[in-house]
Amino acid sequence: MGLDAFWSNIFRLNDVKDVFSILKNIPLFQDLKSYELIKLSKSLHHRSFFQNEVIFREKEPGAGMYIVKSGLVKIFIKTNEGKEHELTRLEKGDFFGEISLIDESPRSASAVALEDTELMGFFRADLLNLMDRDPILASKILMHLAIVLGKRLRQTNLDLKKLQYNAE
Amino acid sequence: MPNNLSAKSQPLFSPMQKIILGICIGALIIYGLYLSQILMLPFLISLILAYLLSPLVDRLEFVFKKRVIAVFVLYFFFFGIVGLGLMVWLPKIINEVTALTINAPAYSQKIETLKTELKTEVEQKYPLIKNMQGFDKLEILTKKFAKEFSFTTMMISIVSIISSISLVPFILFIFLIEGNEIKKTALGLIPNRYFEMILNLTHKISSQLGGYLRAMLIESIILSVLASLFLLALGVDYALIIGGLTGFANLIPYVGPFTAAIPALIVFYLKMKTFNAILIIVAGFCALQFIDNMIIQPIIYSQSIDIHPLIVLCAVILGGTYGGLWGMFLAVPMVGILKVICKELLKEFRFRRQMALEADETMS
Repeated sequence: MGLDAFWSNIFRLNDVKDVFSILKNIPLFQDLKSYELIKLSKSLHHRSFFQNEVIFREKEPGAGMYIVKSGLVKIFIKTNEGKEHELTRLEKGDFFGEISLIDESPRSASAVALEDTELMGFFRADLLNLMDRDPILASKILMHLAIVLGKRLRQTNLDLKKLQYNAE
Repeated sequence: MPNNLSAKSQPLFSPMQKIILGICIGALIIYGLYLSQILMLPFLISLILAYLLSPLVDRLEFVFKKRVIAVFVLYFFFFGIVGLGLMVWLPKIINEVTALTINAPAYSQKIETLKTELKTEVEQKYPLIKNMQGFDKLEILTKKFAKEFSFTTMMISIVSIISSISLVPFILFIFLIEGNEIKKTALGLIPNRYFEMILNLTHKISSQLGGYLRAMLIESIILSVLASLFLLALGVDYALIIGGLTGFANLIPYVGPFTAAIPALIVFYLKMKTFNAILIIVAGFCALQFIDNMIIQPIIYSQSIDIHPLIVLCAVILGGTYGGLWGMFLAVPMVGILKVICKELLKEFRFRRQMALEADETMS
C-alpha cells in the first residue's frame, strides 16, 4: 500500500538537475539564464498524483499550468452525450494549462493522471509574485507565453480555413 | 471518468478518518498557540511588518539579486533612520511624557473642579436636568467610555507592544527572507483537490491584506504629521504625543478620530481657559478629518478593501464588543478577508453544483 497524495507532498525530495533539464526544454522558459531558472524553480509547486487522480476538471476555474516531471497525463473533453473524448497524452517534459496563467477563465479540458505522476505547477499567483520580485524574468516568461499562444491562434485560424474550404 | 484506484495507490486513511485527524491536529495547534501566547504578539507584529515591508524587499531584491542582501540593506537603512530620528526627537518626546506624567494629577483635579462648577451652574439654571439626574447619568456614560478608550488604555497598549519589540527584528528577518518558502511549504500540505482554490485564496488575501495595511500605515503617518504640525502651531502642550496618538487612533474607524481630539481639547482648554480654545481644536480636527476622508483616503485606499460603510460600522461595533481596542483595529481587515473567502467559496460551490447537474443530466 503506497502513501496517498496527502502524505507524499510533505515528504518531497527535489531533484534539481532533473528539474533544470525539463525547464530548459519548455518553450515558455527557453532563453532563460541559469540564475533565472534557479529563481523560477523556487516558485514551482511540486505535486504528486496517484493513478486515476483528477488533476483538474473541464470548466473548473483555472489557476495555472503544470509541467510533467514523471508519469503520464491524459487530456480529454466530455462530449454532449457525456462520453470522454481523449485529446492527447502527455509525458515527462510536456506542459499543459498555460492559458490559465493569464486569467481565471474555466479550463477548456480535463486532465487525469494515468499512472502515479509528479507534476510541477507554475500558477498565476506565482507569476504575479515574480512580477514584483523580478520584472525582467516575468516579462520574458510573458513574452514567450504570448508567442506560444500566438502560434496556437495562427494554427487554429488555419484549421478553421481548411474546414470552411472543405465544407464549401 | 474512471474511478478505480490501483492497488498500490489506495489511500492511507478514509475520508472520515481524515476529518477526525484534521480536527485533532487543529485542536492541538490551537492548544499549542494558547500555551505559547506570549509569543503571539511578537509574531503578529512581525507578520504585519512583513506584509508592509515585503514589496520594498522585492524591489531591493531586484536591484541586489539576492534576497538576503536586500533584507540586510533594509535593516541598515531602517535602523539608521530610526536611530537618527530617535536621536533628534526622543529627548523631546521623553520631556513631554515626563511633564504629562507629573501634570496628570493636576489636570484631573482641574477637570473635576470644572465639572462641579459646570454642574452647579447648569442645574441652577435648568432644574429639570437636576430632577432627571442628567449630569450623574452623563458622568456614568463618560466614565464607561473613558475606561474603554482612555489615553491611559492606549498608552498601556502601546507599552505592551513596545515590550514585545525585542523579538520582532529576529522573527521579521526570517519572515522577510523565508516568507515565500514558508508559505509554499504550508501549501504543500493541502490535498490536490483543494490546492488550486486555496492557492488563489491565499494570494488574494495576501494582496488585499498587504495593500490595506500599507494604506493604513501611510494614512496614520500623514495624519500624525499634520496633527502634530497643527497642534505645534497652536502652541498646545504635548503636541507630538497627541499628534502621534491622532494617527494611531485614526486606525479605528468612527471612534478613533473623536478619541484623539479629547486630550487635545482638555490640554488646550486648561491652558487657554476660553471657549474659543474648544472651537479651534474642534475646527482643526474636523478639518483634519475632512482632509483624511476627501483627499488622503481616496488616493491611498483606491485599490484596497471595498466594503460597504454599514458593514464597516457593524464590524467595528462587534470587534469592539468582543475584542476591545484590538478588535476594533482588526475588524475591517478581518471583514475584507472574509469577503475574499466567501467569494472564492461561492465560485467553487457554483462550479461543483454545475458539475453535479451535468452528471445528473448525463445519467438521466
